[in-house]
Formats: sequence, C-alpha cells, structure tokens
Amino acid sequence: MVDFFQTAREKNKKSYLEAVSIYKEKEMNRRGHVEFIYSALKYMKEFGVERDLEVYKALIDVLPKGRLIPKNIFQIEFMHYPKQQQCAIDLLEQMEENGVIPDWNMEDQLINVFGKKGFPLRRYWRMMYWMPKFRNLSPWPLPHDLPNDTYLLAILAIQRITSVDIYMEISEHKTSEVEDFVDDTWIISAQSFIQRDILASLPDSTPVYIEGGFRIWLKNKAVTYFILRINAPENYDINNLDIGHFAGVNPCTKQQKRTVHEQADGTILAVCITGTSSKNSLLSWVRILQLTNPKLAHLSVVFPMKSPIGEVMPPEQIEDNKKSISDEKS
Amino acid sequence: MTCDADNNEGFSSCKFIINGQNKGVFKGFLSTDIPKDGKTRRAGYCSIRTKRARKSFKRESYLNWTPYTHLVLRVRGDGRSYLLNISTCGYFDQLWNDVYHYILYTRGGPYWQVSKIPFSKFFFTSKGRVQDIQQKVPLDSVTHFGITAADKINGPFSLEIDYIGLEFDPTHTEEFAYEMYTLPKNIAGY
Repeated sequence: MVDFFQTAREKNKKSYLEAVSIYKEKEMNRRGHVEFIYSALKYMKEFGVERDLEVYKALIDVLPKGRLIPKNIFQIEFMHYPKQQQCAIDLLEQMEENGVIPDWNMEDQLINVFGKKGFPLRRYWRMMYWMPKFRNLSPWPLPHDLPNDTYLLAILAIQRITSVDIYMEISEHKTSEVEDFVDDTWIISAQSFIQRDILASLPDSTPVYIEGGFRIWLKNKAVTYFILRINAPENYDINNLDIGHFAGVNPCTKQQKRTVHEQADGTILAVCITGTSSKNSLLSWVRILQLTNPKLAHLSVVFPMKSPIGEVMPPEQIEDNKKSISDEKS
Repeated sequence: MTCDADNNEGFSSCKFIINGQNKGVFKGFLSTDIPKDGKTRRAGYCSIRTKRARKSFKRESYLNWTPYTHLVLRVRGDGRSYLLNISTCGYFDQLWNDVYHYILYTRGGPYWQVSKIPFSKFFFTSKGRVQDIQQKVPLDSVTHFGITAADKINGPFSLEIDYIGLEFDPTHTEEFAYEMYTLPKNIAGY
C-alpha cells in the first residue's frame, strides 16, 4: 500500500492523484481499499494536499460503488460494512480538521457507495450544516491561504490591529528614506490623526516608550509588532476619579470623551512592524514618525524592557519566530 | 485549570495568573505533538473553568442566568481564537458532559476589545461533539463557565481578561440561532 506514495519522486498534488489512479488501475477488484485510504490520508500532509477537496473526492472514488449499500433496517442500524464506513468517517473527519468544506458532488459520491442511510452520509450532512456556519464567522477575516512572505503578513497584521480605529493610516516605508539608517529593511507603520493630535499636545520631554515585540497570531503564523506608548494621565487612577456632579462641578460642562487609544495602561500613539524587528530599525521608525510628528524631537524616547501591555519578547525569541515562518516557506 | 499534559494526553502547559495591572491572564504553550502511546490521536488543549457553584454544606447548586441575554467579555488576546464553554452538568451521567460552546475571536494587538455574545448563539455539544438535536442553553442550570485554547496552532498563547459579565439586552429577540430539526425515522439521535 505504502509504496504508491513512498516511491513518488516529487511530492505534490499531481503525483498524489497519480498514485491514487495507479492503485485504481492495478487493483481492479479494489483489494485492500480501506488500508489504501488510511495510508493515503496519512501521506496527505507530506504531499501538501491536506486542504484540497479534489484529493478527498479522488479517495472516496476508490471505494466500490453499490456493494456496500445496506438493504434493510437492521443492516443500517448495525453499521453495514463497519470498516469501510469508519474509514469514510475518518476521511471526513480529516477534512473537517483541515477546514475543507465538502461540496454537493461528494454527497452523490457517498450515496453511491453507502446509500442514503449510511453513517458517513450523516456525518457529511452534519458537516454541511455546521461548517459553512462557522467558516466566515471571524470579525477579522483573513485569506484562506496566508501568504508566506513576512512583508505581506505584516500588512495583514497591522490591518488587523488597527481595525480598532477607522482613521488609522497605514504607511509603508524603507529605512533608507531617512538618514543614519543601519539596517536596510522595511517598516510598516500605522497612526491616525487622533494619535497625532495627542502626540502634538504632549508637554516637552515627556517619556515616550517604544515597547515590544509583542506577538500577534494570524492563523498559524506569528508576527512581531512594536508600539509607541505614553503613560496614562495621572487622573485615570480610580482613587482620584473626577466624580463630576458630586464634587460640585457642573455636570453639564462638556468633557472630552476618551479616545480608543487612551487606555488605563497607557496611551498608544503608533504601531509598527519592521523587517528585522531590531532596535536600529525601530530608531529609523522614530525618524520616519518625526517627519509627520515634529513634536517627537522634543520628547525623550525610551526603550524599556517591560511593558504593561503584555509580555515582551526578548530578541532571540523574535528570531525563533521568524525562523518558524521561513521554515514553512522552504 | 487543565491542559492535555495533566491527563497524559499531550505536552501543552498553561497557567492562569493575575498580572501587574490586576488583570487575569490565561496563558501557556499549546503543543499539538501526540504522545507515543498508540492511543492518543490528537492533542493540544488548555482550559480554565470556574468552580462549581455550591450552597451550604458543599451541596451542589446552579447559577441562574435567566435574567440575561448576553455574555460580555473585555479581553486582550493575541489574535488566536478561543472557545467559550458554558457547562450545564445534569444529574445523570449522560448529562455530565453537556457543554454549550461559542468561539471568542480576538483581534490581537495592544487594544482591548469588548465581545458581546448572545446566549442564543451557543451550540450544544457533549464530550466535544456537536449534537444533532440542538437546544438552547438552559440558563437556570449553569454549573461552570470556562475558556479553552485549542486551535491546533503550536506556540504560546495569552489571553488577558479584564472582566466577564452578563448583560440583558431587551432588543435581542433571537431565541436560538440554529435549526432544531426532527431527525428522519429510524435514525437514532445522538
């Protein structure tokens, strides 16, 4: 069984389908088709076809048509040809785990093999009911196949982070745009005019923190991002809240509503992802920000090791992250 | 708090701590590596669950959420999705594993998010299998609430939780989001 797949020279969809058709030609009587399907399911990842509907359909096509259909209610309830039925159920389960939604052709295929009352059919109908319901549920949709390129991933990540504020402007830069660059890499930076206004209104020499890297997951890929943050205003503390009416202040006086960027753990002024995630590239990012925020030159920029926003990744961990993405690429 | 390593079913680890900002953090490392015991086919879950509601003398009791329509969470995630579980353990052993699930998607990034999820969207499962015969959450007999990380992605996860609350929204009229089919004759529902 195994040698159909082990002897394949190239491991791709074409050779996989070829192996299936070789089996079908060789075994006209379909001897050992259950074992063949199980071994084929095991080799799917290796051939990179585990998310391909066509391949699953080709495997179901291996099952003999007509012979396995139960003829009375006892056969239906006692799982006629249990090995074959379980095999088809396991195949459908593997589809579900890889997020492959079957199509209506597959229903016909399964009916031809197991009849309308077969257990694989019940599983198929369950999948057709539930899987489309959850497919597009995420409020932050991502493409079905994520790009392997870190640059494109970074754009997706920034878009996702900045979906919090519709005024966010995402800009793409090269470090070579500004003087004194060390790393020649790209920077994707995002800032809205609200954040620019907050930055411009800061008193001189306020400490501004560049924190990170933090991790954001896009499906199975992790991207490292950095933020520009200042501490929250003092009066945010719950102990000296402005209690308005009770403090004798006229409650009708208009108060500025807090923007989404002003959180209890600090005000976020900008977000970025750089190609190397190094300190030098972040310095270039500050220089790029200075072009639109001249105020930044009068503030003291600090690179702290810790952050109230979350756990900060040390540089070596960021490297590991990158490696895992490039490993998948190769 | 449980993970698959606790049950000898995998290599994940997790913890639930209070961080410096007085927020709860559910974090850990999810690993889908399968232990070579020839039995386990899938691995990779970490979950936290509230303690069982009890009355005096440690008698078991239930939480009554009937006045509310929504679950509200203020969280800061890492872009992963998590599973929200409302368990309604019944008296008989068949009902011990009754759990209602819904998915919590997190944006990721430095901003907090408030997720407001209606109870009508929770679907019925038993032992992690979605059931054919669906029913809405019996809100008067909630025994536990929990969060699970099991999205088949190897790597660290972290979910910062500010609060988890309940809300009554009178504009929400949906009773149950899923169809409650009667199954065809001669098919046992399970």
